[in-house]
Formats: sequence, structure tokens, C-alpha cells
Amino acid sequence: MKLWIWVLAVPFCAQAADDVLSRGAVVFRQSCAVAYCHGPEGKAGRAPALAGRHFDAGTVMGIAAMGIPNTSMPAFREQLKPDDLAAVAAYVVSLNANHAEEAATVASRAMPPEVERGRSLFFDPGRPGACGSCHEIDGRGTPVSIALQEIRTARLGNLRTIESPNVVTVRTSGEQPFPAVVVEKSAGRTRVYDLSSRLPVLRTFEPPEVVLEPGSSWSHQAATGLYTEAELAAVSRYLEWLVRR
Amino acid sequence: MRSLVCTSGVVCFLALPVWAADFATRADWPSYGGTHSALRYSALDQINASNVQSLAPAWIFQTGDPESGLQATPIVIDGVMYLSSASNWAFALDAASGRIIWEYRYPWPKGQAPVYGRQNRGVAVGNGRVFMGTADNHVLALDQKTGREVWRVNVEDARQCGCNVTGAPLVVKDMVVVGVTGGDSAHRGYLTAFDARTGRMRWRFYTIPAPGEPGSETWPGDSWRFGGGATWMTGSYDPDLDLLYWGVGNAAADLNASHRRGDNLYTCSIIALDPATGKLKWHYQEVPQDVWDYDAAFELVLADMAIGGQARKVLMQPTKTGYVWMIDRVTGRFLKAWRFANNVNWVSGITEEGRLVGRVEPEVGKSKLVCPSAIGAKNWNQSAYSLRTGWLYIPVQEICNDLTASEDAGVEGKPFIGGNWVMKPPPGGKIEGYIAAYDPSTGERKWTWPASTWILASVLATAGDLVFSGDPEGFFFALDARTGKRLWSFQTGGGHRGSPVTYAVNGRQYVATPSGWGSVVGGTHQAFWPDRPAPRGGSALVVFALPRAEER
Repeated sequence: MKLWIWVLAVPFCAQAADDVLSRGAVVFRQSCAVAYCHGPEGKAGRAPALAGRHFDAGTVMGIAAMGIPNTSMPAFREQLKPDDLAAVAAYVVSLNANHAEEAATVASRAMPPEVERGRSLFFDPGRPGACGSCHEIDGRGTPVSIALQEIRTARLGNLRTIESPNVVTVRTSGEQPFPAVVVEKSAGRTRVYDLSSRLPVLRTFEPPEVVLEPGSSWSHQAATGLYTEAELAAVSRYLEWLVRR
Repeated sequence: MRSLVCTSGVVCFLALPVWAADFATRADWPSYGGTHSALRYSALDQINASNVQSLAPAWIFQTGDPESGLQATPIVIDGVMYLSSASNWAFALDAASGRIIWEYRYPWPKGQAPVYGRQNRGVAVGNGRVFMGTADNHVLALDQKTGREVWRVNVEDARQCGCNVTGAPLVVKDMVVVGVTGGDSAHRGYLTAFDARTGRMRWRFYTIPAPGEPGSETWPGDSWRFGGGATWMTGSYDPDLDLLYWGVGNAAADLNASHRRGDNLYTCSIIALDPATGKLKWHYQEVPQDVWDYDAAFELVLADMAIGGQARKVLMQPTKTGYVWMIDRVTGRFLKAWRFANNVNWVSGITEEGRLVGRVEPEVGKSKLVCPSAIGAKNWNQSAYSLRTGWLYIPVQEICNDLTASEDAGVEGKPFIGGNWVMKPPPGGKIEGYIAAYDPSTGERKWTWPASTWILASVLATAGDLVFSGDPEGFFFALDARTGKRLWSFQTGGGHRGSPVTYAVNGRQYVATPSGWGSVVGGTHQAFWPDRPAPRGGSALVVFALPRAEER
């Protein structure tokens, strides 16, 4: 902590402001924007964007000096001189003026372990066709079908046998009829999510190319077949938790 | 690619062995690396060392999408050019005049910051479709004639995986194969193949085996889940062997292996897959347990040459490591690795069996100077291999970095670096860049052309004995392929961070280059050369040809 206070105490108004900012920009490019982190001008990269976040100079200097434990943000106190830390902080503050606020991230909520397990299974990246391939929850997943947090658990019932009346059969020349969810049907075009492979495909047809028939042989079992009974039970607990929260 | 026709006025080079036709491009530039062999070599020679001084602009296309420069490789088929820009806009242009035939703008994902910023390195064309990966990790297919969107699929939720598609897809038969970024995130990489016509997923190959699968013993505990292994550049394909080759990126966390002691297959490896099934046929790991961010993701150059007096089907890969790796592409056997950069200290050497000797391992809380840097002795911009000279032309930079490891906890989809790097000049030297020519059978350097700063654009070699590339200060230039002498240059007004191509329409040869600075690595330029002119942004395609009277 002592060092942190010492860093903050370094005055950075001794030089002309422009010099500090241009020095800060150089340090930023060398140490912060390099490769994958905060990106050119702090706008993008693998680390959080810095532009438009309204950090004050003290906060930036403190974090730059000490790092953030257990994250990829290292401590720069050994590598950067106090003047350079101050300059880079001034530069980051200067980024506020030009950029709109980043979208807020979803706040993390306390989740019991078995609910967290269900959530992991729902969005399992090792399973193309996982629940999240067709359902969006809290800004994650692909909204092919209904947004699940809006419906009551009672209506969910058994996830394997749940009815899917919104799935139709698409007939188009040169291929087998396939099950799909209709997204748009207008004079100009028809858009459907093709459900016949594990990742739903948003396909666009011109009207003469395609015929839609109500009903389908598709069942929710085609999707839930990726999960064991125990896994599906965990997914159900996650969905119940969503309704109750 | 086999049915090549040399249109009138374009002299094709015919003195090569028959197989050469499968490797060089002619009138078209059909795929990301030229042909599926990724030589970036054209048999066109209308523009050559004797007349290149007359090369002049024929047309210029402004994409109107200048925010992050233009990194793409244009594709040219039957006189039509297909181009993508940083915001996932796609264009079809008359390749002789620059006239727009159609354009497509992907609806930019609201509220999402793409993980490596706005960038797109190109489209793939085949089966009547134009394919493009997107900033929010979708793949889409456009009708080749109209630009109308035909299908679109979400590869994985970008908000979850910290990954997306910036590389050009690769068309293999009736499929399109797409890699993803995410190697610096807590993420598990993969390669996915889609049906070209319908967009339905055919297969997915995870570059990190799950528990129980072969290779999983190289990942202790849960480390496989967040092990990196991105497939962010474009692979190659050998139609005779029917093998799909792809380079796999670094292991995550990039700089600290304390949680993943083991070889970490198949990170920093070349994988060969059966394109019909996505099953692994062989793999070769260049860097076991990578701790330097030494992606093996770059171009895989397929060529046939004599090694040690024996004819070989070779796969060459120049990588960040400062070495060119040469692998037998039939068997995956290591042939040799030779050093192309001057400053290399991460290992003291590589044995004849491909084993790394004298590794310099980053440590927690202790800074170590390692060369080359994480930017690499070569970045993703590609080399070229000339079938005329038999030489490999590599854009090289000499940059080192101070590496310090740290103990990070991986959080799904979040950055997972495990340390930090500060770019430094080589010991006793300065940061510099150049293009050099190498005989790949021996590793001998034939010539070096020093750049005013460095070269972050790809290299193009032609049968006119020319080597083209562009520099950050806006100059597009031609070098003599045999001597490295600069024969011609033109100021395009924007820094070069893309990949030039050459093609012919109605017997007239054109050379096209993207112009407009951008990219994550490009952002470091002014820190390295504060006294040089800053690279200019923009997003234009500048196309050159000889004045009509000078065409032969």
C-alpha cells in the first residue's frame, strides 16, 4: 500500500499537459495496447476497454502500478517510471472525452453450485447445439426460440417432451424438407432458422424458392438428446432458479 | 485450379514441372493464399523486372469503411474481385475497372466490442457463395452473383467465448472451414466445417482434447477447458492427399504454464484433418508447453522440393518463433527447422529431431528479455514462395520483449494472459524490419532488403521475378526477386497492413494492394519509431497495371 500512495503522490502537472499526454500515448502503445490488451486508443482488445469509462487519474495510476490480483492486469511499478505511470494515467483519462460509454456488463449474481452447473451445461462450449444455441438468457446465447426467463417453470415441464408448435416444415427444391422456426415472411423474402443440424442456421429465401408447411416431425428431444438425465435435471434447476430470482 | 487458361497476352511460365500448375495462381486469385497451397506466387509475368518501372494505377476502390484499415486479401475469379473490409462489409467489383457489382453490409453487433477490434482478413469464394466470418463470431454466405445473404450461423456466442472470426474462411470441396480467435482468452479453440449450400455444421474439431480423448493427458486437471489453441488464420489443403492443414495458436494462459504442465496438445501445432469427417490424421507440435505466445497459426506453405537429395512433399511454416518449420505433409514427420531472424534466444537451438533445447522460461515476479517478442519475428502477414527462384520471401522484424509471468485465474471468455510483455529492442541493437529471401532447402539467406521501419503487409511473388509488398509509410513497392533491389514504388497514401494479389482480365495483368493502416500490432508502430511519419489510416484498394502500349 505504501508504494501505491507514493505513486499517487508523484505530481504530473510539472510538464506541459500536451507533453505528458503524448508521452502517455507512447507508454500506452508500448505497455498497455501492445498485442492483445487494451487496444489502440483504449477502445478494444482483450482487456476491458478504457475509453469512455470515466476513470480518474488516481485510480488508473493505482491499478497500473499495483495490477489486479488474479487477473491478467499486471503490476507495472517495476517496469514503468513514476513519470511514465503518471503520463499513461493522464492519457487514459484523456480518452474519456471522445468515446461513448461501453455497454454495461451483466452484474454477477450469487448462484448456488448446482444452479451454476446447470447454467454451465446450458451454455456448454464443448457441445455445439447446447441449449444456448437456440435460447438467449441474460444477454447470452442465440435467440432462435423463446427467451426462457420470460416463461413460467410450470409451462416447461419435462424438457425432453416439451412441445414445439412453432416449428414448421420447409420445402425447397433440391433438398430434403427440413424443420425450421420462421423469423420473417414478407413479400420480399422468407427467413427461417434451419434446425436440422446442431447449430441453427438462419437461412434467407426469395418467396418462390420456398414453401412453409405447418407442423414438423422435429421434437425437443433432438436438442435435449445431447444431455444425460442428470445433466438435464441440473439444467431444469437453473431454469427454476431463473424464474424464482 | 487445374483447368487454367492463359489468356492472350499473358505469357505463362511453362518450363516448370507439371505439378507446378497446382501451386501457382494464373488469371484468378481463387483463395486466401493464392491457391490452396498458400504460396502467394503467381505464374503471371506480363509485369516483370524489365518493365515494372512503368507500373501505374489503373483504378482505386474506397471501401468507405476506414476505421481500422484494410487487412484483407482480395479474391479474384473470372474477372470479378471479392473484398471485405474491417466492419464486415463485402464487395464484388469488376476487377478490370473497379465498378461495384454488389455490396453487403453485415449489421454490426450492437453493444459488442469485438475482442481484437474491428478487423477482417478476407472472404472465401466457392460453390456459388461468398463466405465471411464476422466480428461477433458468425459465419455467413452470400450469393456470389447478387450479394444477397443466403445463410448465417452463430459459431459460438462471442459474449461467452471471448472469440470471433477475423481470418478468411477456406472452401474445401462442398464445405467452408472456419477458424476462430480466442487464444488469449480462457477459451478452448476449435475448427468448424459448414455445408457450403445450407450452412449446416458438418463437423467441429476441438484443438484441445477433452478428458479421455487422445492427447488429454497433456492437460492436467481442468486446464483443457481454458487452454487457448485458437485457429485464427487460414489453413491450406492438398487435393491429392485430401488433407486439410491448419495452424493452431498459442496455449492459454499465454505466459504462464504453472496450471498446465504438459505438452498441451494441440496448441502451437500443425494439424492435418480428413476434410470429410474432421478427424485428425496427424499432428506436429512445434512448441510443446508454449509460454511465449508463439502461435503456430500462420500460413502453411505447401511445396514439393528436394531435401537432402530426396524429393519431398513439404509443408513450410515461418512463425513468430524466428524459425521456419519444415514438415513432411504426407506423414507429419519433422524434416528440419531453420532460423530466419537474427535475434532468437527463447531456445538455444532445435535438434535434428525437432526437440527444443535451452528454453528460457518466463518466471513470476521476474522480468526476462526474450527474443523474438510476442509480436513475433514475423506476424500474420504472409510470406511468399517463388516457384521460379525456389526461395521463400519472409517479412521479418527484430523485436524482443521483457516477459514477466503472473498467476492468473481463468474466467470463461475473459483475457487469460498470465503475465505481461514490454516490447524492447534486441540487445545491443535496434528495432528493425526487413524482407529477406531464403533457400528453404538449406535455410541460407540470399538477400535482405531493409525497410524504413518494418513490413506488416504480406509479400507477393510472381513469375516476372518480382516481389511486391507495402510499408507502413504508404509505399507499395516491387523488389527484384533475385537481388532484393527495389525496382519501383508508389505512394498509396495509407499504411500497408493487408495482402497484395495479382490477377489478369482479358490478357491484362493487374497487381492489387490494400492500403490503410490498422490492427492491434499496427498500434505499436509509433512507440517504436516516434520520429518517423505516423502510418496513415484509410481503407482503399489500389490496383496497378502497365500502360496498355507496354503490354506484350
